[in-house]
Amino acid sequence: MAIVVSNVSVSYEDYIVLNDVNFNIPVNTITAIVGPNGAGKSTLLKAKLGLTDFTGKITFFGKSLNESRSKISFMSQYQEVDWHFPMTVLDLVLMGRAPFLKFWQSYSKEDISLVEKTLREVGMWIKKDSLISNLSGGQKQKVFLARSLVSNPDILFLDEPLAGIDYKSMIDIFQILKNQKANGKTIVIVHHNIEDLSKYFDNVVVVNKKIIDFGSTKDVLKRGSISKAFNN
Amino acid sequence: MLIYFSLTLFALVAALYGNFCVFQKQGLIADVLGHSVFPAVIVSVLLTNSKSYFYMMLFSFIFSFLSFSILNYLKKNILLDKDSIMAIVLSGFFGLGTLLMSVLKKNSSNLLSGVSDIFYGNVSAISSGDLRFILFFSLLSLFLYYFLRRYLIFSSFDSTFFRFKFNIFRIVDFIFYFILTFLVTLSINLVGIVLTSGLFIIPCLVSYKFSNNYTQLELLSSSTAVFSCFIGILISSNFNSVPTGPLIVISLGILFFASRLININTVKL
Repeated sequence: MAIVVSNVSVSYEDYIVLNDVNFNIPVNTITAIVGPNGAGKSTLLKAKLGLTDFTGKITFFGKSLNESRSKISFMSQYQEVDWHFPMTVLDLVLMGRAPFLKFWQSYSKEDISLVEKTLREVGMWIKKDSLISNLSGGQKQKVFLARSLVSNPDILFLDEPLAGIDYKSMIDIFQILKNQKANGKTIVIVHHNIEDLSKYFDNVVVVNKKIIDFGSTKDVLKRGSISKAFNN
Repeated sequence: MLIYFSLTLFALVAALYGNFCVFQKQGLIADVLGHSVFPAVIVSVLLTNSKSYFYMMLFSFIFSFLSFSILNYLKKNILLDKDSIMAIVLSGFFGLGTLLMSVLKKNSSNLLSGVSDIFYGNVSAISSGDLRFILFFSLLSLFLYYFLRRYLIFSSFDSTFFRFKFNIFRIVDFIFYFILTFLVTLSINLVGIVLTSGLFIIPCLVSYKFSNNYTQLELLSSSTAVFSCFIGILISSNFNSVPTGPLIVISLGILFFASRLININTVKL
C-alpha cells in the first residue's frame, strides 16, 4: 500500500473534525477524497501532511512522514496562496527544487533544466516570465502542479485543484495526472465534483467526519454511499 | 560621510525586511515594535538616571521583544484578527510610555530634554560611535538576508508549502522577527517611534506597482528607501530644527502618491 491511515482522529478543542478514520490507498492509483462541505476532507489531507495535529498513525510505503517527506509533494488550496506576491512562473516552479538545496546553495543548471522540462510537460514554459497573478485560474493550477511534479515525488496530494477552473484546463490537468500515474505515481485528490468520479478516479474515499466508505470507484458508486454521506 | 553611508544602508536593509512585513500581512508590526520602544526609553532614563544610548537600545530591544511575545500569545489564544491584536498591543505600550513620561516629568525633568527626539528622530543627535554600530548591524542584517531571502519568500507566498517542505520554518520566523526587532529599535534615531512603519512599509508599496518579479521589487524598494533617507538627512542636517523622521516619511509619501498616478501594473495591493 502507498498510504495506510490507521485510527486517525482530529479535533479542535471540543469539536471533533475527524473520528477514528481508517483506510488504505494502493500504489499507482488516482484516489478521490469526497464529502460534503465541512466533512473534514482538507483536514484529512493536512493530517497526512503533518500540517495539523492528530492522533493515530499514517504511513507512506510503510515509513513515517518524516522519512518520506522528500518523496511526497502537494498542491496547496487556491486561498492559501498570496496572489499579490510578485512571483514569476519560473520562480514558483523552482520552489519545488528548493528542499533539495542547503541553505547556502543556489539553484543549479540541473534544477533549471528540470523546471523547464516540467513546465513544458504542463504547457506553461511559454509563460515562464509571467507573474503568477496575471494567469488564468487553469494556468495557475497547471503551474502549481508543475511545482509539485518538479521534485519527482512518489505520492502527490492535491487539495481541490479543479475548483473554479474552465473545462479545457480540467481536461488538461487530468491528462497530466494520468501521465503521472502511468509513470508510477500515486495521486490523492480532494475533490468536490462527484459526477466525474468514474471517469478519472480508480478509488474513492468518502468522508463525513468519519469514513463512510472507501474502495474502487465502481464499488463505492454501486453501494450508493456517496449520496448517504451527502444526505447525513 | 559616515552619517549618509550608515543611515542610507540602514534604510536599504529596513526596506528589504519591510517588504516581507507587507506580504505577511503584518503592516503594523513595525509600529507595534516602535511604540513599545517609547516606554523602554523612559524606563532606561528613570532606572539609569542618564540618557545613555547603550541602555536606551538595550531596554528598547527588551521591550520590543516583550511586545512581540505578547502579540504572538494573543494571536494564538484570542480569536481576533491580526490588525486588532496589533492595535491593542501598540496602544497599550504607548499608554504605558505616556504614563511613565509623566513620572519622568515630575522626578527628573532635567533629563527630559532630548528624549523627545525618540518621537520623530534626530540624526544630528547620533554620535559617530552609534553610527558605526548602526553600520555594523545593517551589514550583518544584509548578510543574513542573503540566506533568509529564499525562505522568507516561500513563507510569504505559500506558508503551507513552506511548513510542509522545510523543518526550519520556526527558526526562519524567529530569526526574521529577531532582526526586525533590532532594526526597529535602531530606527528610532532616524525616524522616531511614531513614524517607524513608514520607513519599513512605504518603500514596498511604492515599488510594487512597477515590479515584474521579486528581485525588481527589492531593487526598487531599497532604492526608494535610500533616496528618501538621503533627502531626509540632507535637509535635516542643514536645518537643525527640522526632525529627520517626518522628512523621510513625507518624501516616501510623495513617492507613494506619485506611483499611484502612474498606471503601469493593474494588480492592486
